Amino acid sequence: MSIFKDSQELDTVMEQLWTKIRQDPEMSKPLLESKLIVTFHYRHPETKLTIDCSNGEDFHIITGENQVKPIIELFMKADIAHDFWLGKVNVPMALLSGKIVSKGPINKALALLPTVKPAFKLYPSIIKDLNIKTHP
Amino acid sequence: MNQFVFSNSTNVVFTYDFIEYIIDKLDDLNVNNLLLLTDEGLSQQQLFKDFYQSLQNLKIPTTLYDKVKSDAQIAVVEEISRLAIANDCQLIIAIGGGSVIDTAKLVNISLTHKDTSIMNYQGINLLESALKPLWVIPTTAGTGSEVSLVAVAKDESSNKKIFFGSHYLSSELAILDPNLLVTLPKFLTAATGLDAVTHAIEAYTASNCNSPITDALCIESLKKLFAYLPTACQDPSNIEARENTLVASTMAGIAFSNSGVGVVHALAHSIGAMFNTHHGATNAVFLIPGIKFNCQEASRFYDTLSVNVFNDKKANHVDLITTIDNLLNTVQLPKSLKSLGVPELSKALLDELATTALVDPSIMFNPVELNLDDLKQIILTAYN
Repeated sequence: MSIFKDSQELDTVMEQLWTKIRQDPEMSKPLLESKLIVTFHYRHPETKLTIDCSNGEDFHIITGENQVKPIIELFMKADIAHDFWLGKVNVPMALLSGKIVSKGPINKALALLPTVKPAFKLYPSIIKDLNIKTHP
Repeated sequence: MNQFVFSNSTNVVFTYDFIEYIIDKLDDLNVNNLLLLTDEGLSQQQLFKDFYQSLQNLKIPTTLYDKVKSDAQIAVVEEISRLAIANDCQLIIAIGGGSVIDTAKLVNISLTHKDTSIMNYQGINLLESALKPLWVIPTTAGTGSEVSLVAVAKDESSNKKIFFGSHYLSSELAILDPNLLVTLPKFLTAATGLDAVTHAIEAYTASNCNSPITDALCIESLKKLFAYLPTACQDPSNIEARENTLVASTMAGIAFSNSGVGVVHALAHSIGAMFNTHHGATNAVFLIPGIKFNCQEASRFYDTLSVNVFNDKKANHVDLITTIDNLLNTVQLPKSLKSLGVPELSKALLDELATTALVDPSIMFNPVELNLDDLKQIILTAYN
């Protein structure tokens, strides 16, 4: 059973998280400088999230289907995303074991990791505020 | 112990007569068109000519491409793919070093999907189904590409290495024949051998993903390489040395496919893409500086490796470094970037090289986290 009850709940969590990342210059500045467009494809529940930093000035958070062509695409179960934002995923192992699939330049995807790490501290409060019950 | 996943989907065959083995195997199969890949140097050798003639005798239509370049190149992959798709090849046989084998892996993606745009498949775990059968015959002992799940190619337009990784990418069959190595020049024997040494050391110390299985492979591989690589360089026709280094390379290849590599490979990829230096020789230059850096925080991994490799409870990372240094002297490989032919590095160039290494996929397996300054320092240390 997934942490998230449905796609809408997952969308809400990810939108709130990325809005906080956008508001934090420590994280948003390098993301904007990268001009990356990343699409996360989640399953169980299924949804899609695109972070578009391509104009270098502001980044767009788009949930669901859209016409933006991503540079990197990452595919994973929603629970893996949840564990990732809690800082509990061994990313190399997740890649080796096939739990995360990446399309596009993997080096650009990896460059994102240290940039978004400060968000690990923000995520638990989002989950708590939305009253999402997590497994022990 | 780490949680771990270990897999190896390649059948490994060791033989002293790869031609007989393949011809016998093909005789049992109904292959209508075969793609044979090699490089120009190898295609001129008698052993290859004998192999090609044996295929002709079997009357299997064969598409031969014998101009694979060193460093798998995207443009070459696309050129071969067009040929293979047009001829509807059903089996790929690649005979050569890591570049030939990596090229074959990427051609296999295009051939199977009938899509010559190989960049569409750039990524990790992206392939969703099995590819066409790929048989590989390594002619160097070092890259481990015959059993690995990855392929690295160079995009000439950006001078960057492009990474492809998938369980479906690995070959169906790897045929190890030490007779193919006896004509390998001393420099290539040494450089590819040091690539294997680096695989074994980095796979053992990749503390996020290593396992008792990969550890055992690394230890045995290193024992063989330290014992036999000097002889393989000094006495090229010594079959005992050739077979042991060949098997050691494959063992290290299986190990790093399951646990990863580290900072030495990340730096070698960055330098190699920029200056076209030989991958194994570049690893050799970075190996000691990389170990010394990691030992500041993680010497315990190198200490246990040394205890096991040298069968000495008192051995530690210093013994490992000394052994590598002696090996580099014996096989006469360059010990600095300068002697490898890398021009003096400007500040901007140093920044670019370190930045590229920082986001190289290899670095995520390194036992110690590095920043840009750490990488610049290792490059500068390795320079002179």
